[in-house]
Amino acid sequence: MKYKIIISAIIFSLALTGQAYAATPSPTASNSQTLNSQINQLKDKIASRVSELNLVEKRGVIGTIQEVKDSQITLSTNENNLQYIDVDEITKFSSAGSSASFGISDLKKGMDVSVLGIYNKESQRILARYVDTVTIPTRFSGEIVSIDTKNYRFTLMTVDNKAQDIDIETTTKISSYTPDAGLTSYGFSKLSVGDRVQIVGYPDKKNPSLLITDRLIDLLNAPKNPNILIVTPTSIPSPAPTSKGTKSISPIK
Amino acid sequence: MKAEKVILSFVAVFVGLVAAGIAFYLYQSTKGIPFDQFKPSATKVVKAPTPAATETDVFTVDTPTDQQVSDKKLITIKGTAVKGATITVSTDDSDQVVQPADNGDFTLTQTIPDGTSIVEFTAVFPDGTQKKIDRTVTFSTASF
Repeated sequence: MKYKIIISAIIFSLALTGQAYAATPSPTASNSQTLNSQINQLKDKIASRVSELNLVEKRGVIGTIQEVKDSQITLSTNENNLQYIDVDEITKFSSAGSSASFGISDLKKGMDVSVLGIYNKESQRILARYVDTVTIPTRFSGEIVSIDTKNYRFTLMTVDNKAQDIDIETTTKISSYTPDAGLTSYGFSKLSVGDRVQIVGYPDKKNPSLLITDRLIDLLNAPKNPNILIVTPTSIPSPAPTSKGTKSISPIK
Repeated sequence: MKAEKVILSFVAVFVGLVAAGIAFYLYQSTKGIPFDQFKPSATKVVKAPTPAATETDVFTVDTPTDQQVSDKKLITIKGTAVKGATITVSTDDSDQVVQPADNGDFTLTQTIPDGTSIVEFTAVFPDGTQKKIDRTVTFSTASF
């Protein structure tokens, strides 16, 4: 009787235990290989996705070279921020009108370059894949203060209150804008003093202070910029000439 | 006597397990969130306040972002400016001029040059002042 009680107690306690399964079925050789390859693929995908989403991304930047050192370029961007660029053996360099052997040693301080590469958010550096020299167009906006119709030039007062000489070429694309008509073709002869214009061009090679205009938009209905101070030249009265103190001139015979 | 001890041991273990199970159940039930707190009415949705377009120099460009790389030549430009402003979009080789809608939003599409270039956005406000925003954008289909 005692044994029966003991045995039944053991069976009863065993019945309380739940079924436990192994986390993974015992792998066979082929199953193990498949599983490992799947795990590796998943790891690669996760790693690639994480890198794509979080740590790195493609970026393009334009700036002026401040320093070239070993495998690093320091750029000053148009926002006046410093951007550090790393180059490696697969970075491609190119320059318009330059030989195919253009490389990092050809980059000098002051050159404008564009860099396309992989930006690391942690280090905030770009690993360059493409480095190209570029010519950045110059842009001005302001009001016309004087027009030289003979030479197809005018003087622009910029929003920084600096006078800028502007040259109009036959290839210059001149447009006007009004909200009703939109952008329409315009002409140099229609430009007036006080017009508010926006200009894209390139500095003249012989005279860098002169801008050769590529495109111009005359914002016809735009209000005057209160920050642009146009000083209208006033004529200084010159004293009337008198004959006092002058020498008489006799014709040469 | 010995058998009785064994039986008592098993019974004690069993009683202990049952007591532990009851205690665990009670503990878990106290961690639950009462049903009435799940009512949607209890969730307060706080809307972000719409920025008042009363300022005279509101001008933002949401897209493209600076240093953005696009694998398409045609990009979408979205932004906000004060009503009545005139916005000029200037790339290396073309220009567009738009005016924002009544709510200040503006949207347009723009073809960008090959490679990396600077797109300049200039807003001329109704009071005559202006604001400039630059975006460096790149068209590239290169994979790296």
